[in-house]
Amino acid sequence: MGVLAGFKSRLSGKPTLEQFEKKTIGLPPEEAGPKWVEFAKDHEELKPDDAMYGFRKAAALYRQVGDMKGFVEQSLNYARAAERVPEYAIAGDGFRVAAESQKEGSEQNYAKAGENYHKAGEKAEADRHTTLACDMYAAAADSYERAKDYQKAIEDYLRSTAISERKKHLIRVARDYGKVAENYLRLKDYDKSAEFFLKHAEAETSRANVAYSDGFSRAGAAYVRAGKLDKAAEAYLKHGEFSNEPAYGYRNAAQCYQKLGDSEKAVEYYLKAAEDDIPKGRTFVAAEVLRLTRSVAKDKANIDAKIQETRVPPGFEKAALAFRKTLERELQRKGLPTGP
Amino acid sequence: MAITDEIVDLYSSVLNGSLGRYAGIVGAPAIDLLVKPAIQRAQKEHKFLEAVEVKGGRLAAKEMSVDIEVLKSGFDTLTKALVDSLSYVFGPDEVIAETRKIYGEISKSRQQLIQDAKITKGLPAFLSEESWEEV
Repeated sequence: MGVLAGFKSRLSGKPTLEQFEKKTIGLPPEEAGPKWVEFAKDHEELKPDDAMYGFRKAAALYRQVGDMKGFVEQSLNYARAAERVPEYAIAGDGFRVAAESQKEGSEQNYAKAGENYHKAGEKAEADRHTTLACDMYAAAADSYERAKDYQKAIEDYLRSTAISERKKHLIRVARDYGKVAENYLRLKDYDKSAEFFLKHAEAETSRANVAYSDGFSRAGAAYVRAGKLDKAAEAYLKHGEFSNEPAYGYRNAAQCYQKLGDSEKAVEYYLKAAEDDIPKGRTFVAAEVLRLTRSVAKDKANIDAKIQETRVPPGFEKAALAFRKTLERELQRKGLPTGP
Repeated sequence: MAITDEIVDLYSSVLNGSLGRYAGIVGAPAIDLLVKPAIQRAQKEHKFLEAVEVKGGRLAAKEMSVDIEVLKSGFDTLTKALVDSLSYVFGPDEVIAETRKIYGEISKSRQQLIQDAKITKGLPAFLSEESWEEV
């Protein structure tokens, strides 16, 4: 028996996709769902594209009636059928929605989604569909991230970024650098994480033409964890420079310089932090920062004069005390002296 | 209750839980002062947040009629800004851990809303389920 004859005999008497679609019109979803599963199973081996469509239709119907178990089962079925077609993006979608909807096996399904989106990205790139390729690599990376395979997530974010940079899609470049940084953080590679947080902050700044400070702050924190306090201070200073709340950046930079033994710079930036707090009414914070500055400063008289000017307003004593305790904890954690 | 009201209620409950805890430690006036710039910043980004104010260490929201996605995005910005402000004084580790705990408790009884309105999609990373330890 020839291939075509065998094919015809296996599907003889079975309706085509178009015929079956017409047959199910008007059926209530709880009846139509199982019928579409049956149709898809009949076509699974010989017409995987029809099977994929059938399982997809069934999944949507199960979801419509709130049968989440059926929805997950049919989503996985259409994902597997799509892999055979192959329609990698659809396969990725199937595994992803199954992972999102059911905790059991979620990581494996996310990993499968990642694999399929990655293949979809490669195919789109080969076909020169660059925006689609970028989307697919980013979707793959996001799935790998959820599957806790952070290294693969980084690799696909970088693939996505390489295309975005060529196409000058600056929003995507900025987003993906941030994601790469977060994944290096998860891998505890703090140096790399800081490097990409800086790139993220710079890309955001040039993209939106506004100062962007979050990335600088996170880069500073990652450098602290990497033990590179000089670089951390630089990043924190950028945070101070660009942020609407510069005090935080300056205080962090000052702490780095204090730990590096450069008390002159530490005093300079503690004072800058306090100067930002005073006009914002946070005198209870400024007063405590000045007390701390005094413990580092050589010229204590100058700081004493400033302390005299900055009094904790009545009613804010509790707030000042709470801030002092937090500051002391923060300094102890960083191995710095906590007060005069 | 309309879904938008439920969303406002969810976010307000989380934020009030967090603001209330710190107002208990340092007093409500200090908290009002501390979060004021954050609220103004969020309002600049999302006009509808002008219906929101923090007074006496509590967040109060007037009625607002905006699209769900706009609402979520605005409250995500506001949450991040408020947590940032509180972190400035109480330290990020403490504030993030506390706010995450409050969100965990409040979200338990509102799973349906969280799923229907896809709340977790835009939630600041430090509150979402798959978040990692923040630096």
